Amino acid sequence: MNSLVFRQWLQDKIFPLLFTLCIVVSLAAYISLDVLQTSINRYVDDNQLQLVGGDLVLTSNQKIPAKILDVVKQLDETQLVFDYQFNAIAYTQDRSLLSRIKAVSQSYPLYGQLLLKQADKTWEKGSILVEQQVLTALELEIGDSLTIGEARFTIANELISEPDRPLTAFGFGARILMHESDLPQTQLMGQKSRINYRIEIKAADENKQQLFAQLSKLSDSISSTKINLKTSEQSNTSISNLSQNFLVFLKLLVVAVIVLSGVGLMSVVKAFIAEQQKVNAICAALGENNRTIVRSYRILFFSMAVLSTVLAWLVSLMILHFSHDIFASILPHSFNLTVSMSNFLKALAIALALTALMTHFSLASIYQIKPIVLLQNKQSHAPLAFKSWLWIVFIVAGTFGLLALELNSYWQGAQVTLGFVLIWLFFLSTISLLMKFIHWMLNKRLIKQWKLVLALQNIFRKGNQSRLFMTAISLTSMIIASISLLDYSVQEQLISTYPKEAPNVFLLDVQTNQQEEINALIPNKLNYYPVVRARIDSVNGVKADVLKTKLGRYDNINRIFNLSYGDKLLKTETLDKSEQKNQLFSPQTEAEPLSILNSFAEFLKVDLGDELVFNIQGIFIKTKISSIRKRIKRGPSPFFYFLLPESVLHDAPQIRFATTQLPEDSIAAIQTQLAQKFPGITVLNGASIANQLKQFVDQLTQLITVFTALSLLAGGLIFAASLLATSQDRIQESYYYRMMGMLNKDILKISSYEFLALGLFAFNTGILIASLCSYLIVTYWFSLQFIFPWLLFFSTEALLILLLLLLSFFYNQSLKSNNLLDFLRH
Amino acid sequence: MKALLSAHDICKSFSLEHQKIEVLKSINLSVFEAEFVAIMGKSGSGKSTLISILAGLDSPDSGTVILHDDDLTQLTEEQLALKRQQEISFVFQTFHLIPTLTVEENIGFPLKISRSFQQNKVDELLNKVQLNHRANSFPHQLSGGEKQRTAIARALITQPSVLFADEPTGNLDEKNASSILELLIDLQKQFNTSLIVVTHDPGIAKRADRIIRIVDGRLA
Repeated sequence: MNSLVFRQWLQDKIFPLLFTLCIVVSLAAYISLDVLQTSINRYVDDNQLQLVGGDLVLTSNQKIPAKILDVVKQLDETQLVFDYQFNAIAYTQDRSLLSRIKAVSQSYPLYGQLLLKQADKTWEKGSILVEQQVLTALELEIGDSLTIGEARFTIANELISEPDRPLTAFGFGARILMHESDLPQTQLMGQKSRINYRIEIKAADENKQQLFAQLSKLSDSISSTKINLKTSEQSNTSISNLSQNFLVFLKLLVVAVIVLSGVGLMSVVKAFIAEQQKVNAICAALGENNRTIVRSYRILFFSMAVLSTVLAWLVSLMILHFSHDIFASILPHSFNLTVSMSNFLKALAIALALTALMTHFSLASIYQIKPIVLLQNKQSHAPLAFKSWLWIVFIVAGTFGLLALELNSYWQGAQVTLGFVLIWLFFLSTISLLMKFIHWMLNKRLIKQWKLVLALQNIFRKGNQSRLFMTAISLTSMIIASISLLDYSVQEQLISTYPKEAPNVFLLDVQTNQQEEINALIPNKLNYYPVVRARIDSVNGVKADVLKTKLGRYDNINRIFNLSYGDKLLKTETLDKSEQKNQLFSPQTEAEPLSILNSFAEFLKVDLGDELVFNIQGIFIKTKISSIRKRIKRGPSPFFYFLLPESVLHDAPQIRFATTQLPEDSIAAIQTQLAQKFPGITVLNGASIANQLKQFVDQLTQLITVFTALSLLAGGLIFAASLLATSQDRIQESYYYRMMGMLNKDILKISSYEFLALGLFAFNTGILIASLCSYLIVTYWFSLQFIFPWLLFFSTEALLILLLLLLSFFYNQSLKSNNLLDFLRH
Repeated sequence: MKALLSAHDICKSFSLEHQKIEVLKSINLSVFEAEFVAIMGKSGSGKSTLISILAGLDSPDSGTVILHDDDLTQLTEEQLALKRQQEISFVFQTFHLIPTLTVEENIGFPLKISRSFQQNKVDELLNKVQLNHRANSFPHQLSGGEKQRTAIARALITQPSVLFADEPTGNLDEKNASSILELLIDLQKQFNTSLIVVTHDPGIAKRADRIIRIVDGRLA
């Protein structure tokens, strides 16, 4: 029996081909991501110390207090790295570049090594290491000079990678590494408002806990400075965050592809078993028992699953080998992929479970075989012993198991499974409603064109899997279209065509006394905004530390905020609520009046009259909310969560933030002039940053699109499998038409109408839902105008129509090759 | 009297594992207008192959089949399709109804194909085959006899010159077979159509105007 089943299976190559494709498409993607994820996890585990930088790490946005420095400096110099990071403009005689400066003490790095282009060269004091981007943008070479702040440095070497910065795609500004001892010469430290201070400490296990406890106690006792102290085990690295978030997201997409491929697999098996009914009936008539027949099929399908997993494994190795560039933005430099047996075994378990679930129904039907019925050309209508709802429970349970494993949490697994089920049900109901509507139109004879009527009736052909196919295709079209539509609207307005009225140059850290000179240097009008840096101490008497756990993830209440002062609304704002009509501030007796932005008021759960206390460098200011502002236009324009009257903050330590609009081609020259005259000012070019952001977003979008497109492929497999499952019916219909004298072109028309109806209904349902979702997100979340890419839509639609027509044409050609006479006889 | 359909020197052979099997050997026959001809023979004698060649469903190795002065063996697929729209119809043992269409739609379908649909013709045929009450039923809701009556109505709606029937009662019980035969002959007379039936059933053959017997690929 086994050899007969294998022979029958291999007789028509389309069955093994589709079966294998269903498993290979989904599992190759799964294995690739799994290998990436496990390799990254292993990389993080193996290199945790060098990725974090030390056994203990202190970080702050303010100068580390002397009390802590006194403790730290008792350690040996070789156990300690002081690290300062900030943005600054590096410049030459005629060029300048926004850079991310990192100044480190002599012992850097405590763990791991710097990778330099000329490995044999030493890095002396007074010289700097720069990324390749710096050399290219400023047209420099190793050995040339570069000015940062007030100091001139020699470029000692090209920096390839830093052990504690595995990913370079995030963050703005090209890296320049300098010695801590050279930092004072730049004279930038006093002028920069945003400096990240870090101290990395190497500590043996026995001292680590003691030191941690001591530093922790000290940090807690200092209220004026917020200090983060973490051990290497507690620290998250950018790469582990990425592994946990982005790859898991991609894997969720692939889990959806696995489920869709399972549907395709089910159709293939169903078509094959249906075709084998007669052979099975003959075997049964000759005395073979049904259990043996089913066992033979099981052996066949499980063997195919194993074989397909091996193939998927090989394909995934090829993907990983050839797609390094695609993953470049999320992989560290010199990262080695480690392929392990566990990746394969996991995929094999999925393939076997999928096969067991998806072949069950078809195999169960074999138990119902009554040889005499089948040999008389009748179909078996005996009910299946296995309840379909139980089968669905198994499918959902299987999906939950896989998701819980991937997310490493039963709770999250259950949430995402529920999400999957709800989305699936929503689409299934939408498509069911659409199909009911078509059925209703057919019943009411509202469609007159008979070829169209026939084509639409064929959608309801038994075994057509139309609903499933349309659900899968509309769902995947929706995901891809949503990504494209969001991307399009945001890019059109913020990136590709930078808003005309928005400022495109931003000046950070302007000192009050520099204003006049800057105005003289820049031909266009500048808008200056005073910025006072402060922390929130309490809200309605509740300390910020206590509140932190009760608030959402919108923002971090413990960070430093930029307060501003003035008595007017910005052009991009409107007054949402106020104690006194149209007044930003109303007189308060016990506190200063405060105007707050509505989004932050929602985050803090505060309203008019509520009290906030700010800590401005140790001075506490009590405020009461007298108005709530709302942004009416988003985009690259400044805004402040908190606005106070000038009289309150006028004497507070402050810097200025300035914006202006300049012609694109003049920005570089002005940036260089500004850097040469005011090295402490950081100039940001809005359009260039938007472009940098676009490149990064494009890389991630590309990855998401690739993996989502796999679900389209799975949808295609469902379509192919349903064509296979209904091929007997279709051949029969085609014969009937030909027998009655229908012309080939009319037969082709009917088939084309059916394919077009299936494809276009599914695609356009997906587009419609995607448009609605994107419209809501773009309008209400981004506060931008929703722009529908009509040209792209019509081109895709035309391409789809062409594809469906070609498919219909070739499918009909294959039907024509079957002999009409043979069919009519049998 | 001029024949409606005539076959001249028809030969047909098949190759089976490099061996040539001659199914039809130099067949000559004529069928006249409104004539009822029964073709009989043992299994494998070549009767189904003959009817297929006469109906233009298959082409002979040599010889001609003339229907209304047109040689079917020389016509293209499209021209043969037009012949089937206007002059040739079929009734089969296994009915071959379109499962997604109702009885009424199945019957009227050939008229839609030939772009000459008239509802009154459909109603007339429904009436003649006594299926008015089943007009909106689908094939799977019908009994064997009802299915064959639908198939007969569908075959005759275009008022073909010749109707080919391959074992039309083969799938029916005795009572249904007898009533279908009566209906077929009755309608053949009413529509003045030539009827060529392939059958094993001597009862049917007995009702025919002429019986053609085939033995080993030759007319006996």
